Order: sequence, then C-alpha cells, then structure tokens
Amino acid sequence: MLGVASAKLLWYLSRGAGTVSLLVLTLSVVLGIVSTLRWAAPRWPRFVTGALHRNVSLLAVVLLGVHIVATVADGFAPIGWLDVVVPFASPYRRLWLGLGAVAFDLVLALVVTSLLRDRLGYRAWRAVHWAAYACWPLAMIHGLGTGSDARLGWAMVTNVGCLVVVVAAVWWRLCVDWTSDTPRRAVAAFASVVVPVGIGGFAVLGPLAPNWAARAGTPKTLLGGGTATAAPLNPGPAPGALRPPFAATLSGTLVSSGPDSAGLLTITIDGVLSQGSEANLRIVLSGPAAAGGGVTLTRGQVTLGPSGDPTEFRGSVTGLAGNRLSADLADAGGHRLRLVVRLDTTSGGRVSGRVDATPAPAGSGPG
Amino acid sequence: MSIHLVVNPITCVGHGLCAELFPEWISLDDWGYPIVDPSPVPTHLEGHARRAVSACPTLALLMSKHENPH
Amino acid sequence: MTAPRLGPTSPRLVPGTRQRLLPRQPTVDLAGHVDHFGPRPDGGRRLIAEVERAGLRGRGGAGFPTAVKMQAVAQRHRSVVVANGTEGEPASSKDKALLTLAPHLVLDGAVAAAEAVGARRVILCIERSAGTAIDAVFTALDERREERLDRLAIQVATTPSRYVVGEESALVQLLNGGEAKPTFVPPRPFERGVGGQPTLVQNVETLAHVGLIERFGAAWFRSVGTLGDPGTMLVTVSGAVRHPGVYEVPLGVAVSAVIAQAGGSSAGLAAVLLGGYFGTWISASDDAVLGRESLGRLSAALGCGVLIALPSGACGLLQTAGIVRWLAAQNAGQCGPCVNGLSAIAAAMDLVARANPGGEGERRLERWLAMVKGRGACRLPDGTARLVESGLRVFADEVTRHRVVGPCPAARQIPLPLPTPGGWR
Repeated sequence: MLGVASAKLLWYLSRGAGTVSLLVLTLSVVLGIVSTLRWAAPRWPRFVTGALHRNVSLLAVVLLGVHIVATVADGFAPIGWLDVVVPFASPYRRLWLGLGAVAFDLVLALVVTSLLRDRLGYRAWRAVHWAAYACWPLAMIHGLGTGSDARLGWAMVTNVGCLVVVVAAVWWRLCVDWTSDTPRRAVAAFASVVVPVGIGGFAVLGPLAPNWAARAGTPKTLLGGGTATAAPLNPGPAPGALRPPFAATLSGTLVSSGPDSAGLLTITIDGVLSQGSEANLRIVLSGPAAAGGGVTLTRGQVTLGPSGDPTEFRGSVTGLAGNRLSADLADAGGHRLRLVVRLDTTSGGRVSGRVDATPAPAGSGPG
Repeated sequence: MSIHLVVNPITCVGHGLCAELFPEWISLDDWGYPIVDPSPVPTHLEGHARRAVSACPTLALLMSKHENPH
Repeated sequence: MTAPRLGPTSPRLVPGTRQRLLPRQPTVDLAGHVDHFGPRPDGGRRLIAEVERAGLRGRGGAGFPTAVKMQAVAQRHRSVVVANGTEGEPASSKDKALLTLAPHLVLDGAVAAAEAVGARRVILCIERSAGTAIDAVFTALDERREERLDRLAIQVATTPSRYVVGEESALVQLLNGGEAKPTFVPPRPFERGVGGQPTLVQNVETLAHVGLIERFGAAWFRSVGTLGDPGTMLVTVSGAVRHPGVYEVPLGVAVSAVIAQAGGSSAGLAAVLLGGYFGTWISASDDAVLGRESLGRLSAALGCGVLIALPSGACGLLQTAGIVRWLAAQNAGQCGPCVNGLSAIAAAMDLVARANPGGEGERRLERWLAMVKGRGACRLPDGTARLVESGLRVFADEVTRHRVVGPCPAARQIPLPLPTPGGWR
C-alpha cells in the first residue's frame, strides 16, 4: 500500500512541479523582457529587475529538476534518465515529451552560458540567450501535450494566463521602439501572433478535444478508458469500462446483520464510486463477532461494476486492518484489479470513503 | 593589488545599473552613460564594485588591475 | 581636396634648402626615383637606432616618436607594417600629393621599416576616391615587382571615405574584414592588429622620411629644422591664401612665413586653424612657430600639418560651428557620450556662433565639453572639444559680441571642405 501511495505522490509531484515551473519560467521570461525595457520605479531600481530575473531563472531550473526527477522516478510511464535530454526517444507521447526534452536542453544551454558569461563574452552569451524565446513556448506545448489536466479549470487559467502575460510583455517591448532594427522586430511581431494562436489552436484540437491520450501517443498498456487519460489523477472510472489505475470517492450504505444461526455477523457495504459515470461496489464481510465489536473476517466477497453489469469484477478481500480493506478482483476476460478501500466515516448506516484501484500483478487470482 | 573600474564605451548602451549599485564611484552623464572614477577602488568598496560589474547587462563594466591608458 | 602642386611653379620655402620629399617632377618610374633620391641601401635592424638618433616623429597627426613604435613591434614576432595614406582630414592633401609624386620613396620607407621590425608584409592604405594617387602607386608597384625589388609582399587596400578611418584601431579592424570603426583598446595594434599579428601603423609621410634616413642618415636629417623638432614636414595650406597647396617646410619655421610663402592673404590674417579639424586655432598675433614647445604653450600642436588661414572680417566662431557640426556627424555611432555629446556641443556652438543672449551657449558648452573628454573609444570627442575650446579662446571678442550685440554682421566665410561620408567598409 505504501508503494501505491508513493507512486501517486511522484506523479502528482511531477505534474505539480511541471506546472509551477512553467509559471516561474513565465515570470523569468517576463522579467527578462522588462530588463530590456529599462523600466524603473522609485522603489524598484533597474538592478532589481536584473537580479530578480537571475534568481527566478535559477528557481525555475530547480523546479524543473524536481519535475524531471519525479517524472523519471515514478515508473508509471516509460521515461528514463536519457529521455530527459535526448528528445523523442521515449515511447510515451513521443513528440510532446520530446519537446520537453528540447526545452530542457535549451534551459541547460541558457544556464551554462549565463554562469560562464564572463569567459564567453557578451556576444556569444547573447546569441544563445535568444533561445529563451523558443524555450518557453516549447515548455507550454510540452505541458499541454503530455499532461492530463488540460481541461481542468486551474490548468486552463494557468496556461492562458502565462500566454497572455508573455505576449503582452513582448508587445510592450515592440511598441517601445518600433523604428530600430525593423527586420527583427517584424519577425518578433509576426511570431508573437502566430505562436499564441498556434498554441491555442493546438490546445483546442489536441488536449481539449476527446481521446487526446491515445492521439498523443500514450502506450496502449497505459491507456485509461474514454476521455480520461491513464493518469491516476483522474478519479473515477470511465463509462463502460473499468481500467486501472483509478481513484474514486465512495459513498453508500453499510448494513450489519446477524449474528445468524452459526453466530456469524455479516456486514454489507453497498456504494457508488463517483466522478464520471458511476460504478457500483459491493463488499460483503462475514465472520464471527470480534471481542470489541466489528467482525473477525473469515469471508469477504467484493464485486465491482458499472450499473449495467455490477458484478463485472469479482473477487475477495485480501486484507483488512482498521478502516482499510484490500481486495483482488478479476473480470471474465482475465483483467485483474487490486482495490484498496478506505472507509472514512460510518455513521447512521451511511458510509463514505475512497477507493484506489491499480492493476494487479500477474499471477494473482481471485482468492 | 588595486583594481580599477573601466567602461568599454562601445559595449555600453547606458542601462545604468552600475550607477544604481555603486553610486559612490559611478555617476550618469546627461545622456545616461556612466562616468567612472578612474582611481583605484578602496578595499572596503570592492564588493560593490564586483556587484556592479556582474550586474551590467552588456558586460561593459570591466575590472582591471591597471588604470586604463585612456 | 586641394590638388597637389606640381612642376616648376612649386615655390621653395627656404632658399637653398633642397626639397627633400617632393621632387620637382613626379618620380613614379623607378629610374626617375633612383635618379632623384639615389638607390636604396640594404636595410636591417640598425635602422631603428638611426631613426631614433634622427628624432623622427610621426607625421600622421599624433607626433609619436617613430623609433619607439618601431621598437615595440620589433620585439614581437611575425609582424605587419601598415602604411597609412588614408588622410581622413578633409583639408589635408599632403599624403595624396606624396603618393602621387613620390610613391617609390614611400614604398622604400615602408619596406625599410618592415625589414627593421621583422615584418613580412606591408599594406598600403589609400582612400578609395584618391584616384590619381592609387594609379601612381599601382604603377610603382608593377615596376617594383618586375625588378624584384622587394623581398616581402606589398598589398594595397582602398578604404572608405570616413573621418575616423585613419584612426589606428579603426584601420586595423577594417583590414581584418570589419567596419572602419574604432575598437576598444586593449590590445593595441602593436600587440595584436591585422590578422592578430603585431602591427606597425605609420603615416606614409613618416615612412617617406624613414626612406630618406635610411639613405642619408640621422645627421643629414637633423641638418634642417631645430634641435627639438628636426627635419622637414609637409603642410597643406588653404583658406584665405593666394596659392593654396602642399608645401614642404623645415620644422621650427614661423607660421606667418608659411602663410607668406603660400602667397599670403589679401585680406589680412586673423587666425590660423593648425592641424586640421582635429587641431586648434591660433591667433595671427601669437607669432607661433611650427615646433612642439612653442605650440604647446598655445595649447596647439602640429597635427597633420594642415594650415587654414582665416582672413580678417571672417567670423571664426561661425567657421568653427560649421566644422563642429560636421565632426559630430562623423561619429561611428558606437559610444553614447560621443553620439549624444557631440551633437549637443554642435547645437550649443551654433548658439555661441550666432545669437547667444544671456550666454546660455557658453554655459552648455562648458558643461558638455568636460563631459565628453576621454569617454569615447577614440579621440573624436576629445579633438572636437579641443577645437571648440581653442575657438572660444582665440575668438573671445566675438563670443562677447555675440552675447551682447548679436551675430557678426555680414561675416565673410571661407569655404571649408565638409565632404559627405561614405560607407563603413
């Protein structure tokens, strides 16, 4: 169970650190542009912008490091250490992940040349630093392409917000000094329209449209069903199919009956897994009454399935401790499922909790 | 070994961060370009000198062991 | 550009003194050259000591001791000699005259200098529009190649018409394939110049003197001129004189004598601009001689030997304002204090030169002249500031008049060459 929990942690960490590093990267790009604008205020001298830009950039690199380490350490998707710097080598969403590697390579180049600026000389440093303008959209497209949260409110707000802020800063910079260096400014103006429109278009046709996970190149073994991607962050089973891993909240009823003629108590939990379409979970525990109440388990049957076929998966309880219960289930087709059920509140016959499902390793069968 | 601050006037484009960070030594002329005291920087101000040098966006402020022949 | 004077009408300055540099007839052909100057002896490193004994100083404008420059390059390996005939000063034509009349002498001197410092290559730089001089040089080079005269390679580079192109670092950058703009020194050309090699940059007149010293020795060189300023120099006289042109004069001669030899001014002489636009004004009443010490006391210098005569009745401030505005436009656009400062100074000079109520122009000039000195990559701001200061000093009466009364009434102006600049490559 600990393994399950930490695997989730790493995946969440990867997504979280990735999003925050995009935010911080955006801030760094904006500060860099403001530096060139020579803006200052009474309480904000020019050197503050420069120093902030430097520190924010280093922070972005650190967060990027967390994002990368968490992604690789979490074994869920086939991303290895080499895939961090060598783009398009991983089979996991090859293109979109690869763009992240390209962006990271550029970040490395930016950081190394900036730290060695004194030795390199201004011109060489400057030539490489232009790559920052490529790095940022790559990071955003990578995030949209590899992520599973694109449709979520906070993700949309973040992405749109970052885009707006960078485009605004670029336009401020262009407007300040139209006349000099016109060819480069024309290219910048063109790019500042084409790139955001391109990203927006990509988002609408890609991650925001159905079945993105499959279209993005997620390996089939990892695919979740329907519109939900394989990422365990998406709670709830998809309609028509239950494919692990997934997590869902459980709410239902708990009824205890007995003791019967053999002295066995039976506790029946009937619940519905929420989020997306509903699946029904039924757990029947029976055994002799335990000394302090509850039941000493001798038998536990679990069924799980959508409303059309509520016993699609059947299996038995493999462990019970406190309010935690684990079970191994399988369906007729041999797909195996390992459930961990955590019952949070039980009062007045109502029960609520959480269910986490992961693929069961081969060889385990319904007990 | 004393250090002197020298501006490369070609690379300098008048950002002015140096004057913000080391006003005791560097002031700005009427057009925003730095006027740097050519005498050797006293030891207790060397830290400020180094900060000013590293803050220059175009690497135009230089530290030299010799006074600029200019 | 004033045409060089040729032929029998060239006046001799000091009767009895042989014209050293400028032959009466052009010596473009080798035979004529050898006939006039004599054959070139075998060169070698001893030449530097001879040049030092002769006390030769650069004739390009800076007046730096030539032997010191040669010595600095001789200490290094694989060097290059650049013969600077670009002559960016619009009022100067002595270099073009020398190259047209005596190209072999210049080339002899360049080769001699190269052998003395251990250089294998000579590059002669001439401004692109100086067609006559370029033709003469190419003719001379063809002949030298036929006669296999020189043991090293001599190339010709034509340069754009720009005021700053003759500045050492700008010339080196141009020869290295870049723009003819000054660079930030260090390293100086004698350390690392053309192709990264130690480079000796010398004015063509200086090299011509080196060619003569190689033949005739230091004592001969010193037999004319003064102890502190030995030898002769070429001057270009223009302005309010009857016979403007290039003259060869012994150093130490009185400025008034030079003006007189050039025919003098029919309208009387008010002042002389000495040394070109990079030079300074001296008053006619100053009684100056062409010597460093005497001129130093007047805050003046020989420069590249330009003398522009200002007649009485002309407004020196107005002439200066025109020059300063032109100089301000000659900047390479590289250094903020120069680009901004010189145009501000030019505007303030316009005030001082015309109507300057309340003396606002002088106040601004005082502020900005101090602000630009030493703040560029080259000495353009310094030279301009020096010119303005000398004008304010020499024409102090006019300054007061403009402030109190108004501009000079119907001021007579002498036309000054203010050519449109060319490109940077």
